[in-house]
Amino acid sequence: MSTLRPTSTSELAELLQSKPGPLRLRGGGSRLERMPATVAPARFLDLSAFAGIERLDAQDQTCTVGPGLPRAELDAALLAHRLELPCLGGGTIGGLFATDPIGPATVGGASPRTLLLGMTAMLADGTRFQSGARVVKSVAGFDVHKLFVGSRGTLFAGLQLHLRLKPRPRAQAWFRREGLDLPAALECFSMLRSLVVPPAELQLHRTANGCTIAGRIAGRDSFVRATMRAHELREGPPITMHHLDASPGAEVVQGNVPGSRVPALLAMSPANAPFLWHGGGRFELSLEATTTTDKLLRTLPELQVDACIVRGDDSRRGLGTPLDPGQQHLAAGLKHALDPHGIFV
Amino acid sequence: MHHHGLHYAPDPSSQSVCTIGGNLAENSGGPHCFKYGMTTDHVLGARIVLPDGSLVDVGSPAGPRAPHGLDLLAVFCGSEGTFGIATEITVRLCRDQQSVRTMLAAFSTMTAACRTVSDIVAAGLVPAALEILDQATIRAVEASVYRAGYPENAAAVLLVELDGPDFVLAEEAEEVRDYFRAHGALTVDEATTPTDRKRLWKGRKGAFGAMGRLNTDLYVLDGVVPRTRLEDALAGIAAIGAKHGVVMTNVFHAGDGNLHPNISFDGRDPEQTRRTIAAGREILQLCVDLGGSISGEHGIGTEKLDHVSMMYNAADLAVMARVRAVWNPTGLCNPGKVLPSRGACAEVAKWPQMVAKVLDVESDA
Repeated sequence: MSTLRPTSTSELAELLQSKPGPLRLRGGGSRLERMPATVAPARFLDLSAFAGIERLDAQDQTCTVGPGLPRAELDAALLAHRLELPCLGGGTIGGLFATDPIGPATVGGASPRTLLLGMTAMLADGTRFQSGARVVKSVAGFDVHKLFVGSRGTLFAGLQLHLRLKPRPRAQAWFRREGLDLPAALECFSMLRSLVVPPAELQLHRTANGCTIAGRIAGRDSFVRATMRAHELREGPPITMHHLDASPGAEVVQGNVPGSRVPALLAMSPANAPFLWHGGGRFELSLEATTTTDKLLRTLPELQVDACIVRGDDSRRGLGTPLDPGQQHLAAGLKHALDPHGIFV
Repeated sequence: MHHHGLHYAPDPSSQSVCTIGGNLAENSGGPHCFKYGMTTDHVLGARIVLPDGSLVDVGSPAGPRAPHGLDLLAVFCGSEGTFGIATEITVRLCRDQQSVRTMLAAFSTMTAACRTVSDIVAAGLVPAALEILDQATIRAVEASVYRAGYPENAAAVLLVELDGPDFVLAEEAEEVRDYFRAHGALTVDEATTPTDRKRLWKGRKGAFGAMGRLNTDLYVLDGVVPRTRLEDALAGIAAIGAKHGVVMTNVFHAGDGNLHPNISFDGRDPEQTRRTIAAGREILQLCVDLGGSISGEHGIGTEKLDHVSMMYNAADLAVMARVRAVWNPTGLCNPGKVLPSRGACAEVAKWPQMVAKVLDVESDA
């Protein structure tokens, strides 16, 4: 696919007003292989020129950034002020919010959903608009900007994102328990997840070699030390893997599952299929056969679990459990209302 | 939920009478949302009846958005009943903290109280609540049945609530005391028992009721400024009050920069009403000019319809109207709320009549 790289808001508006045909918003490109394939030939719309930190109010713990800003650059700038954007995910900030890779519910932390205070955005017809505010609290008007989170850039393009920041924890410690069998891992995970102050990050990873529980305790030094000691947590390396890769021919299903339904979910899937579960409820499951995936997607609604394919063949990515018909109707209506010509794909 | 050791975190001042449906419609906040977030952060799913009578289920117990769906719940939350009616709501519950410590410091100036808040937050402390009451509010409270023993000579009192494990609270409380001392707190009162905590909160929770003694009517405003602009905002509010000759009290969520300036007036007097409305409008404009919002938690309703244009231009409002039309194409649900009707957003001159209607008085403007 060819790539369009507007360098200013007016250039982007002109580009969109020229009826450019289908466009796919592209951030750092780190998640393209997890996106559903486009149904029509499309060009990339690259907003890497919109990469500034336009405002960083350290005392107010808010900032305004361009969507093309790499996460690593923002993190570096925040570190100098002892602040952080407390959610997982790399790439560009626009890509992070548009794909919401770890989902809206997190344990012990915040998610893109809670951190996006407002934004300036552009519709596919070049109309510039704003929603929300720069302050940490506002209920003026409808929160149209929240539709951006997880929309994969299919409703509108972000120009500026107003973000809530948090103080960096004064201390933190990573922990890891390896070689657990599944019942022991689930018990440990459940115990940690239900702490009054749960770990800032928590993950259960099942492989053919057993299960690993890993996470991060954050807070005051005394709290971190006491929690590690009380739960006999051994220090380990930081978590670096947040997603499962698919081996050739396999595919990865991603979804949300309440903790109480994980045993039932795993009972429906092949024994020892690689499984990754974040503390907030987002899971990934790697499956070897498409028939297995299809069967699972058909049965997951019985557990009230939503899921879709995020890694695998082009023709399969994006397939998922059926959404509520009313929800589909509203989603289609919003797409038509905000992008009637289907420019953002 | 109490006997399960759980609680639902949003705690609007109206929590003894409000409903969860109302909280969802308004995206309600409250004193503890500084640490725990607003309603939108605690709602996982809802069954909604749309204006055409159809049902839609959004979100699930596992999370408010399916990985392949839009976050419809996020935009429904705070739509003030204009998108549909929620008939079932799934919320996230929080575990009760091991301990809670409430501290009340009195200051000789409002500036000192505001700067204490800034320092506490800048230090990376995240209290469960940071609330300030000004002298006029303190005196109203102390003269009422909500009397809580607040020092009446103080220019402001700052209520700080910490929660967490015991040993952490002891350390955090010491840090907070240091900031109290550094800013010259006149007195510090601390509560560790539920009874004592209730006493310290009594004045804050009863503040609006106490203001009812000041005059026949009370105009409660709701605006937000960046926390670092609180001092500027309060100075500006005082100046606006003086300019219009209105009786003003302030009680606010200092951690969030969410102000509640309150104007006590006699609604039977058209002149007082006119001045009250004019002062209210200028205060909200001040909040916007300082980089804030015309509403932190009370919403727009009809009262602020003509203030919306302070924050949003016609294009912004048109996009919001498109979104509303998807949910509510015929305008059946809560007509006339949140968004000004066509052209009204530019007609600021119309707003006093609108507010007067809300206040149920005749306006001579």
